[in-house]
Amino acid sequence: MLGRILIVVFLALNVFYSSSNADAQGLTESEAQAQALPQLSGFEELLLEAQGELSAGRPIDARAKLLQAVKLKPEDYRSYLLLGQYYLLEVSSFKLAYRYLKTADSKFTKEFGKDDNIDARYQNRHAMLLYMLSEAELNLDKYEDSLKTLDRFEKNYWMEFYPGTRAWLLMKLKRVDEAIQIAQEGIRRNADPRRTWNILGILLSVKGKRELSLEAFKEAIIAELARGGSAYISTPLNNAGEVYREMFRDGLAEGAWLKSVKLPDGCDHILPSLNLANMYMDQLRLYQAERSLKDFEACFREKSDKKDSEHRTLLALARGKIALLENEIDKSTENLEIASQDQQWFGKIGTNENDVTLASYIALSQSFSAKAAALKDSYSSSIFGSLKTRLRSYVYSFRAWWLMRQARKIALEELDDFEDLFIRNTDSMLQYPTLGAMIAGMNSASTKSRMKRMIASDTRKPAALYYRLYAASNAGYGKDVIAELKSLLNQWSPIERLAKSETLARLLMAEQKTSWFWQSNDQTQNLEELFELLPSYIRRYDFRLPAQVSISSTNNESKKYLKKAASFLFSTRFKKANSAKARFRVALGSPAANTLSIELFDTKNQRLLAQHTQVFKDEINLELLINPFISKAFSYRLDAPQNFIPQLPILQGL
Amino acid sequence: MTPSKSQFWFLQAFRASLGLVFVCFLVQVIELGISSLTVYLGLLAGSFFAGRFLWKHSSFSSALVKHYIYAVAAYLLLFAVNHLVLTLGSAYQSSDYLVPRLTDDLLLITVFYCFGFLSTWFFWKSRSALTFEGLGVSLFFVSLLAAHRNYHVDAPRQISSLAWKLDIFQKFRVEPQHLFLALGLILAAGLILYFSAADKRSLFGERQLTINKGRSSRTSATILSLLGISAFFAFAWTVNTHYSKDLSRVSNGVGSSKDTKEGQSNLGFHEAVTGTKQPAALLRLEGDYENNPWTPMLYLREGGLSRFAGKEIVKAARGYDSDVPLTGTGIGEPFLSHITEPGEFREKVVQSIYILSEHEAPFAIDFPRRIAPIKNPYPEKFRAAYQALSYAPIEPLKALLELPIGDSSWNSTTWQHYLRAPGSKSLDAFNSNPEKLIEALQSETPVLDSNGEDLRYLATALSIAGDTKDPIRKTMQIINYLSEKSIYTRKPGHQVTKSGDPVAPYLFAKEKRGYCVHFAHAASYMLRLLGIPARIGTGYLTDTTYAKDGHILLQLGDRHAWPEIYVEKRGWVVVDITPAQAENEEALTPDEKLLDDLMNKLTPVEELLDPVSEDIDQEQNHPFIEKLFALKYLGNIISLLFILFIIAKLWLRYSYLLAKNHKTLVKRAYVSFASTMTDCGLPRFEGETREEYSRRLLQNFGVSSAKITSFLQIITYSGSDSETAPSKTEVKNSLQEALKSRNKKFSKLKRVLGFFNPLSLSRLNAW
Repeated sequence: MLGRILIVVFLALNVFYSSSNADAQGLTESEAQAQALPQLSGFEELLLEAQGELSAGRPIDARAKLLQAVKLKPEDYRSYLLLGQYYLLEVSSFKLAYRYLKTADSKFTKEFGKDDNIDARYQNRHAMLLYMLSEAELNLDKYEDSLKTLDRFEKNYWMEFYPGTRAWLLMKLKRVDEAIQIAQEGIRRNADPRRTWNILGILLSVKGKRELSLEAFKEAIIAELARGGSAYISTPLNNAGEVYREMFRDGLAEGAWLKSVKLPDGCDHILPSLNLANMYMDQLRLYQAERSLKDFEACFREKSDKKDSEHRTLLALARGKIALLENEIDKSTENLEIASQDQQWFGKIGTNENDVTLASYIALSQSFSAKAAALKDSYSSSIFGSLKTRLRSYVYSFRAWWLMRQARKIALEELDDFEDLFIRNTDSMLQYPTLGAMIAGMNSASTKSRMKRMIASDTRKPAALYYRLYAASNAGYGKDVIAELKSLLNQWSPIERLAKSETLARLLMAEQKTSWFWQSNDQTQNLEELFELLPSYIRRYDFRLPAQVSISSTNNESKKYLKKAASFLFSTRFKKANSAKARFRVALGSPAANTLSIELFDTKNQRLLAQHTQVFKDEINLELLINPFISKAFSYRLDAPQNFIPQLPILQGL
Repeated sequence: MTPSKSQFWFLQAFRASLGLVFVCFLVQVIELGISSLTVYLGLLAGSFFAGRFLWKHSSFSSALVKHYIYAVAAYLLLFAVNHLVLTLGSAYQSSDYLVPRLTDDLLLITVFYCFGFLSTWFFWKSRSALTFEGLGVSLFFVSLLAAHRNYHVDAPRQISSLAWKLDIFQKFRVEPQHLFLALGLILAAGLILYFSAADKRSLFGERQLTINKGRSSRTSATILSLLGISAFFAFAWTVNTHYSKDLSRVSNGVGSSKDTKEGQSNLGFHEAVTGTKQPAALLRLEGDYENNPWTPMLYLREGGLSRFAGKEIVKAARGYDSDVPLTGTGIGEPFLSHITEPGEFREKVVQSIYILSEHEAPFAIDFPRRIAPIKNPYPEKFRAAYQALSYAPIEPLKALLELPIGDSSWNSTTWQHYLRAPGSKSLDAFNSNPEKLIEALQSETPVLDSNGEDLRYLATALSIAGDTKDPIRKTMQIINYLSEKSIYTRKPGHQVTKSGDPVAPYLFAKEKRGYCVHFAHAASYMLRLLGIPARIGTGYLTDTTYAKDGHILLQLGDRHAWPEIYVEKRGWVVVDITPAQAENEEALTPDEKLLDDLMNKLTPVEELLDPVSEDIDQEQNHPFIEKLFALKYLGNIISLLFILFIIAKLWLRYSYLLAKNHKTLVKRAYVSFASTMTDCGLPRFEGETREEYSRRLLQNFGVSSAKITSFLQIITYSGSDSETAPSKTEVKNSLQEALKSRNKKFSKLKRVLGFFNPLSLSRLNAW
C-alpha cells in the first residue's frame, strides 16, 4: 500500500509538472484565452502556485489555491484533477478524491472528447486521471468500477505501474490466477520491477507457492538495490518474513523482520514490528514483544511526520493481547476496547479491517473472561462487596459471550466463513489461541469437517498440529479428545510455547470435566507446567494451582487472619497439594510486628514473590494482602531466551 | 377467571407496541447482528403463543413440554440439514458453516421468543408480574441513561450518534440533554399509561374477583396518570434548568462565555465533571499554520478574564481585553480588531468555523483581526458559520526571552488591573519582610496580610522565581513548577466554603490536584505577583494530530482555560501548564467518521461538482429502524393511530344507525350508551350486572338508563320477534333519553375530554 502510494505521488507530481508547463504555454483554445485574459492567467498562476505549495509541504495552502482556481474557471478540469490528487494522496479522503476526479473526468471528456479521440498532447494527463480515478474507486471498495476504469486506461495507455495495480485489483476480486498472469506479463515488460515483483510475491504466497514467492521478493530486493542509494527494502523483506513464518521457519522470519526494522524505511510502517510482536507472543517472549512495539513507536515519532492513525488500532490490539497474556487485565481491556472501537482504515496485505475487528472482538472477549475469572478470586471483606464482585463477574462473563458471538458473526458473514484464515497467516492477525477461542464455540460437525479439509489441503506438516488442536478444542471433553490433546502435547517444537500452553489448558479442562472429584498426578504436573509456562492461564481458565501451605505467626490475632487468608486462597486459586512433591509452597506469616505477608516459593525454596501488608490500629485489611498476591502470582515473570537466528538465504549474494 | 377477549387483545396489542419500542431501543444500544424486525417478530411470536396456550388453559408444564418437543425436533432437523450440507459440501465445496450461521441467528430469536413468552405468561398469570416488569424496564432505562448523572451528554453513544445522523439536534435546536430528558419523560408517561391500563386486568385462573366500588377507578387512574406525567414533566423541566445552568461548568470546568457579564466568570472550580465527546464545532483551516509554536496543539480563544475579584479572576469592564471578540459580539455578528497589521511576529491564518452545538460567542485562533459570518453550507448540521482572519503567533515562549513585558502605552490603572492578585497590595511591604514570607511559605493555613489576602501566593511565587530577573524566564519557571507538581484530575475533591479561596487548596496542598481552571488561576496570580501582566484565556485547546485536510472536530471536552502574559510588541501570549501526571484521564479522540462526513459536506465548490453516486454515500441510508425514529415517520404513525382511534370511537358511538337488524340495533345502541358513560369515567365494573349498573348510575349520578337496559335484556333473552320487543324508534328514544340525563350531570368539556381519552377504549369488556 505504502509503496503504491509513493509511486503514485511520484508519478503524479512528474506528470503534473510536465503537463502544467505545457498548459502554461497555451496549448488549447481555452488555455490561450487564459493567457490573454488577466483573470484567466490568474487561474494558471494559481495552479502553478498550488503545485509549488504541495511540493513545499503546505498542503492546505495548496488546497485553498486550487479551490480559488475552481471558482475562477469552473469548466477547466485541471483544478479538479489536482484537488482529486490532493485528496487521494495527501489526505486519503477517498470520497472527496473520487468526486473531484469524477468531475475532472467528465470535464475532460467534455473538452477533449471520448477516450479514443484524445489529442496526443493530453494523453499523459488523461492516463494519470484514469489511473487516479481507479485508485480512488479501489480505496472505496468499488472494485468492479475500478477495474472498468483500468480497462479504459488499458485501451489507450500503458504505464509501468499499470500491471502491478491491475494485479492488485484482481487479487482483491479474488481472481488470483489472472492477477499472477498480469504481474508476470508486467515483469516481462520490465514494468516497475520493484513493485511488480513484490506484488507477484504476495500473489504467489496467496496461492501457496511459498518458495517461488520468496524468489519473487528476492527479485524485488534486487530491483530496489539496483536503484542505488539507501536501500528501501523493508517491504519485500517484511513480506518475505511473513512467508517464512507461514513456512514455520521462525528463525528466518525473525531474522527478516529484525533486519527490516533496522532499515531506513523500517518504521515507515508498523508491519515488521507488529509481526515480530505477534511472533514473540507465540513464543511467550512477552517483554520482547512489548519492546518491539515500543521501538517502533520511538522510531516512528523520530523519523516520520505521518499520523499514527495508520497503526493506532493495530498497536492497541497487539498491546491488549500482550497485556492479557501477562495478566494485566485492565490494561488489556483498555487497549482492546480502543482496538475494537476504532476502525482500521486499511488492512494488511490481502486483508481488510474486518480481520482487525474480528481479532479485537475475540481478544476483548478473552479479556472479559479473564476479568470474570479474576473477580472470582478477588477477596472482599464485606458481604456486599462479595456480592458486587460476583455480580460483576457474571456481567463480564455475559459480555465475553456476547462479544464472541459477534466475532463469530463477523467470521462467518463478513469473512466468508473465515475461509482465508489459515495457520500462521499473518494477514489475519489471528494466531492461536485467538482464533482457537472462537472456533471452540462453533458447531462441532462443521468444524470437524472444516479441519479435515484443511489438514488434507494444507501441505505444511506442522500446520496439522494446529488444525488438530482446533478440532480437539471444539470437540467437547470425551476420552478421545483427552487422548488427542495428550498426543499433541509432546509434538510442539520448543518455541511454540503459547500453543503448548493452550494444549495444556484444554487438556486440563477436559480432564477436570471428566474427573470431578480427584486430581491425578498427571494433572498436577500439567498444572505446574502451565503455571511455569504462562501463569495467567491458570487464572483465565479458572484452574487451581496445587501448592503446599505453611502458616507461621507467634501472635494469635495475626494467626487468625492468616488462617482466614489461607482458607480463601486455597478455596479459590490454589489447591492443597496431595503430596510433598508439590513444586510450589504458599507461606503465610508475620515477619515483623504489625506486618502480615504471603509468599510463594518453588521447590528449590526460592522465593518467587512476596506480598506484605501493615496492620493499622489493630485493623487488618486482608484485601490489600490477598488480592495483590493473587494478581502478582499469576502474572508473567520471565521471557524465554533468544533463539538462534540463521543467515537469511533471501539476502545471500546481495 | 378469564379476562374478556377485548381486554386481553387490547392489552396484548399494548404490550406488543411497548415491545416494539423496547426492541427499537435495544438495537440502538447493542449491536444484535441480526435484523431488528426479526428480533421483534420473535418477541411477538413468544407473546402470541403464550396467549394461545393461556386461552386453551394449558398448564405451564404442558407448554414447556410442547416447546421442548418442538425444540428437539428443530435441533434434529438442523442437525440433519447440517449433515446433508456437509456431505454435499465435500462434493461441491459449499460452505461448512451454512447451517451454523442460521442457527446462531435462530438462537437469538429464540431468546427473544422465550422472553416474549415468559413475560406474557406471567403477566396474565400473576398480578405481581407487572411490578417486576416495571422494575425491569425502569432499571434498564435508568442504567442506560445513568451516564447523564455525570454530565456525559454524549452517552449512550449509539443514541447520540443516531440523533446526529437524523439531525435532531440541529433541526429542533435542542441539546443532547433535552433529548434524554424527553426520552425519560416518554418512558415515564408510557409506564404510567401501561400500569393504569394493565393494573385492573383479570388473570387466567385467578379465583377471587376484584370488584371496585364507588366512583370509577378508571377516572382516578386517568387523573393520576395525567398528574404523574405532569409531575414528571415538571421534574424534567427542573432538571433541564439545572442542566443548562450547570452545563456551563461541564467541560473541563470551562463554561460558555455567552452569559458571562462583567464581574462574572464562566469557570468552575468545584468539579470539571467530565470530558465529553459531544461535537462542538468544526474548524477548517483555509491555509497552513506552519509556525504554530504549540504544534500539534492549537489554541482557539473565546473569552478572556482579567479582573481580580477577591476569590477568582473574572470578566473585566469594557476597555480591557479588547482583542477578545467576545466583547459585545454575538456569534453571527462581524468583529473587527483595532490592530490592523500582523507585524513580523505573527502570521495570517484564515479559518472557517462551523458551529455544531450551542455557542453565543465566537472563537478563533489568537488573535482575530476580523470575524465575519459566511454562508452555512449545511444547515441540517451547522447552527452557524463564520470565517476569521487571525494574526497567529509564530514564536515559542523561549524566543521571547529578555523582551519587555506589558505595553508601554498602558497607564498605571491598566498596569494595576493586570497585576492585581491576592497579596499584591502589600507587595512592597512584604518584599522587605522576608521572615513573614518564609512563614507564609511554610504554612499550611492562610497567612493573611492587612487586606485579608493570602500571602502564600507571593511567597510561593518568589520562592520559585528566586533571583531571576528576566520576566519571561520567571514565567517559564512558574509554568515549569506548576507543570511538574500538578496532578490533572477532574475531581480534585477540594473542601472550599462559599466564601473561601478556591485556588489555595490546589496550590498549597502537598498533592497539587486540579484542572485547567486551578492551573490558570494559580499561574496568573503568581505571574502578576512577580510583576508580569497576566490574564486567563478561555476557549478550546485541540490536538491537530487528529486533523484531516485542515479540518478539526472540536468537542466540548476540548474546552480549556489557560494563563496568558502580555509581552511588548507581541500582545497576549499563551503560557500553558502541562501537568506531569494525570488521573483517570480519558483520551477524547474525535469521531473520525463524523469528521469525514462533515468534511464531505463542506466542499465549497459543491455546486460545481458532479452529483455523488448513490453507492458512495450508502452508509447515509438509514435503516428502517432509524427511519422509524425520524419524526416524520413517527408523526405519521401517531396520526394513523389517532385516526384509527377516532374511527373506533365513532363506530362505537354511531354504528347503531347502520344496524341491519333489530337485535344488532339494540345491542349497538346499548354499546353507544355504555361507551359514553365510560368516557365520563363510569364504566360497568367487573361482575356487576347491567341492572345493577343502571341502578348505580341512577342513584349516584342521576343518569336514567333503565329503558335501554331493559330493551337489551328483552332482546337478549326473548329475541327480537317477541311481543315485548321495542320498536326502532323506542330504542333510539331510550338512548337519547339516557344521553340527555347524562348531559345534565356532565359538562360538555368533560364529555369532549372523555371522548379523546385513549384509555376509554380499554374497557370494551364492560359493555
